[in-house]
Amino acid sequence: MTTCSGCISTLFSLDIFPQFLEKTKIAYFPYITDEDKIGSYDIALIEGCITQEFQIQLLQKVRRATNKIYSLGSCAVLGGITSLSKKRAGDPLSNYVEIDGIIPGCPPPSTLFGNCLMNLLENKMIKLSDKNQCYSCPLREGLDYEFKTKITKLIPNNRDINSAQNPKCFLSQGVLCLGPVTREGCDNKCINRGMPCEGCLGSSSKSLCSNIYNFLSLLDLSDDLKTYEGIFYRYSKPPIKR
Amino acid sequence: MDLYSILSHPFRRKILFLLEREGYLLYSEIMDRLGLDLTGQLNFHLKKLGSLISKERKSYFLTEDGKRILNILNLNERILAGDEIEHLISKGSNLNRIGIIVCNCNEEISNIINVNNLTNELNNLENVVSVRIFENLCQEINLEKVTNWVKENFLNKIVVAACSPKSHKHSIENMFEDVIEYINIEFANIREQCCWAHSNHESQLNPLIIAHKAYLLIEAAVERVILQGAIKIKRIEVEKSCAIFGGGIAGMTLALNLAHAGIKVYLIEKSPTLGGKVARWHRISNMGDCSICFISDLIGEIVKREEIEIHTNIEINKISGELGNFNIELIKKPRFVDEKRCTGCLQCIEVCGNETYNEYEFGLTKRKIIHFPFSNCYPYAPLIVDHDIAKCKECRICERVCLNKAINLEQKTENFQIRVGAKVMAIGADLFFNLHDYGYDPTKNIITSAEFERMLSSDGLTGGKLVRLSDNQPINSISIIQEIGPSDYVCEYSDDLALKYIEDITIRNPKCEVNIFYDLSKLRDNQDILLRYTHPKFLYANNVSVKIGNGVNYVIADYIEFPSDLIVLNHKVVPNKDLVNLRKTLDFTFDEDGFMSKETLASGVYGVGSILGPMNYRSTISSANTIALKIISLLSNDYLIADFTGINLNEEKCGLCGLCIKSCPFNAITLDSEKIKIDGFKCKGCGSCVSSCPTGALEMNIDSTEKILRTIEVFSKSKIRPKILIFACESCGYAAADDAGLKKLVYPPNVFIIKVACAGRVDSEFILYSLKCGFDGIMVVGCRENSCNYIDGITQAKSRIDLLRENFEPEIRKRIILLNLNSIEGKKFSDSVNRFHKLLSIEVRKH
Repeated sequence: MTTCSGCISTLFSLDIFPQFLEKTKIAYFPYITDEDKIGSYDIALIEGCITQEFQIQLLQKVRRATNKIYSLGSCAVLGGITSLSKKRAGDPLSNYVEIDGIIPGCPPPSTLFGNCLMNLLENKMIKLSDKNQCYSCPLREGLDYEFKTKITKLIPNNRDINSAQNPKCFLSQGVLCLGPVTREGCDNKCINRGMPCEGCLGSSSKSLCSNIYNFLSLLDLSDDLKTYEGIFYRYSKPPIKR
Repeated sequence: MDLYSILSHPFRRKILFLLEREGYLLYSEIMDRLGLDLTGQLNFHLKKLGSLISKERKSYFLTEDGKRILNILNLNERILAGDEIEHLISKGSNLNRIGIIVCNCNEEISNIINVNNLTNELNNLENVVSVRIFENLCQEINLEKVTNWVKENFLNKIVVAACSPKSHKHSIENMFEDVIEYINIEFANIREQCCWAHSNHESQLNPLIIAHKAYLLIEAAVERVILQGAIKIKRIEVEKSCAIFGGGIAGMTLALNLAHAGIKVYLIEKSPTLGGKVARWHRISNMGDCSICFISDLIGEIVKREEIEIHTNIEINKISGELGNFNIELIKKPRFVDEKRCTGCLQCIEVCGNETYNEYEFGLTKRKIIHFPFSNCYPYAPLIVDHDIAKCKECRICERVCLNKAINLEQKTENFQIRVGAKVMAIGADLFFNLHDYGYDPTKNIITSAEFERMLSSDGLTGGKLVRLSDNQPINSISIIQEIGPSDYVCEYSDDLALKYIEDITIRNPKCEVNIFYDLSKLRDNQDILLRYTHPKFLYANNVSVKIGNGVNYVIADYIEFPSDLIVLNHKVVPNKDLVNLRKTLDFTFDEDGFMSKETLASGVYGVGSILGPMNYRSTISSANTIALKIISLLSNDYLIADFTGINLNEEKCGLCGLCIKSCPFNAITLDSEKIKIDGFKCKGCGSCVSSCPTGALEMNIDSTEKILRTIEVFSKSKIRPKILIFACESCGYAAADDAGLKKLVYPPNVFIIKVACAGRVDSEFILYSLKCGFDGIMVVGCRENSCNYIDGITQAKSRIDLLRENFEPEIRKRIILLNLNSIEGKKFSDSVNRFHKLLSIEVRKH
């Protein structure tokens, strides 16, 4: 579907990818095989969001031919980066067909991706955490439960990024972090590297969008950030046209 | 199966416990374990146990029934052992046999819609067992009929389609009390918000459309009652004791009241002595008594009572627990004198060579470092203040001179804990001391009213004589300036004081000229002040200032100069400065002047005396009496039951982000050792936390998110456009909608109302989902901004909706509106709905 192929590149670079290849037979994979007809499959991993009519038909065809469909990556799960567009925002797969499971992330973090694939091979359900980033966040200690600091920035100062040990929660530094509304499961990759969470894994309950509205309305947010679309619609869009 | 006769014998109970522990046991093994030697005896017991145990390949084991019975036995054991303060039992059901009652309401409903057709349609709904029409459900004569109907049909859940739950919810719940639990009763408001709101004498809308709306309202209620699961109940044993913080006149009176009722009282005072501020005053207004005599009488009575434990010189460290069972950690600061050993011989004070300012006399005189706070203080022992101790350690003369070895300069702080069922704040208030505008300077005879009290007092600054502090000359003219302080209210208390002063001055010097000044420009409602009856010496001016002259000072009131030997600045009572800090350990809110709000009482924090605002003696005593009654009635319960009808926490999902702590208006949610904890007694169930929880770990037990989303889905089945969905807060918005119905103010029937506890409960998800489901307009109706039932629920809702609206194009933006109403503004409600409907109709026609 409509995609940057980032998730597929991640798939290729997974350390369990060779093992995965051994245990599976790849039937239809436009990147590496020449097969262009839809047969019948056990599992389909679908990357990208739906932006065009023919994609819907293709998706429905795959749905009919496949036992289990998994959405791969934020585009397929939430709509992804195209959500930023007002006119041509893409839709997640689940808007058109029944989905059996999701592998979220932009791109899916390698551990999560690897675990999900291993689960698929063993014919198990994909288990994602119900908790949010804060639960395993290394900066938890510095979380201020009053959320008093005014949020003015999207990224921390250069100095702060470089320091490996960043003892304070981003929110108490005045940097917007979407960790509280984002599902846990990436081992806090961004936060560990000094960048706040952007929410690519989506929320574990309710839609990411409404969670962001609920969350930001509790914060003291500077006026220019209040309508900054990059915060709200980077990975998902509201269920109606903006 | 007669359970109790089975369990009556200890052998049989023992067999059950044995089988639970071991799983399978042979016949002979059971014999051995029980120490029986007759097989007949065991055979008898095994036979008696009947269906609770079963036998397979010579081994005995527990059946499912047996396991269930054992659960009950274990629970009993735990309760009896007393090691578990709380136990959780479930209530509610997951089975669905639903009955629907449609109330005719004196034909008010059947006049407008065809009730028979409605019931026929409803019969087709899934899980619905029986639909019944009642003439007037709320009448008591129906009680038996209703109960029988429930029993005959084996119903466990009920939907009542009748008037608004605001009007008859409780009486209907009471009616079903014995047969159906109240959480399994849902209401469909087909009178106020359906029949009455869409039809009056002038305009009659299509009855079919109204009937369809009624059908959808009932269907949504059915869906909601299906989704209702079991809920939990929490039980807390009440600790029959009370902690009172503050040993002033209010605290002591309350302690005495409680002690008379036989309640154990911990009287905890921050300063080294009981007595509070009143101990300094010359005498109590409206009472002949001198206040120190009065206080020492009161202390005398308190000391006599065995029920009262007095702790002075205490700081609060931590308070945990909940209403009925608090654990309070306290720190006793050192006073460097052992209260028990001291005989009060004053030797140490005589030999002490170090002097410092005496706070008791507002620093106008000096005292020794080791000192009595005042004569007649309790405990009657001298003390050394913490910051003076370094000097004392250099000198140590008093330590040597004390015959009883009572002085211990190495005394350390002590920590201790108490357990109480209730806690009361009686820490009093402070006095406003920023008096530079009025040239405050005791050496120039401009003093505060507190210092004036000390002047009048016979053991005070001037020994009770009216002489000038600067040169000891007699005073012949006194001006008192009233109400000096940061806020602009007038309190009765300062009038009382002024009257008291006039009386006292006249006794001491009948020729002395007294004038009492009020600066009207600094007071609110200043026109009303002029109208009230007062003393002829009260003078009102638009501007009052002080001019410092040579030897004599002047009060200038509206350009007239009043020469005065003494100017008394009657400063206001201001909130205690400790209040702000205490708010972190105790939960209460402030009123507009910064005092403790009287509304806080519900969460188990009680306040008495001037912590609630300026109070004279009489109101202090009456507040202490009222609170004493409340505490006695609270502590007379053996245990308290908190229905967990508020919020339920799923720890599996909780990521400890703390957004719920931020959003809770009542501080009911706290983080306790890496776990979120909800205080069931403080929680009022507004649901603000549920809407802010990003992981769905918090859920409302009754108005769950799932129920509301399902209701939105059902309502979206309505075909007529524009469809409007209203989220109305229970206390104001929903009541306003009812009011519109009562007044028969007509609005279109394609308007659906969903009741939420508070506007803060309205999640962005609800709004987005309703738009997705095809609603053309969303309206959130909450309380007026300053009168939200849940403190800041409406403010949260406002900022949420504003943020949401800002991030949409104007086209969508105008489809979401927030309205602030109070409960009687039905007219405004229907007008707004009609206007909104009109606007949306135009929009819908455009597309």
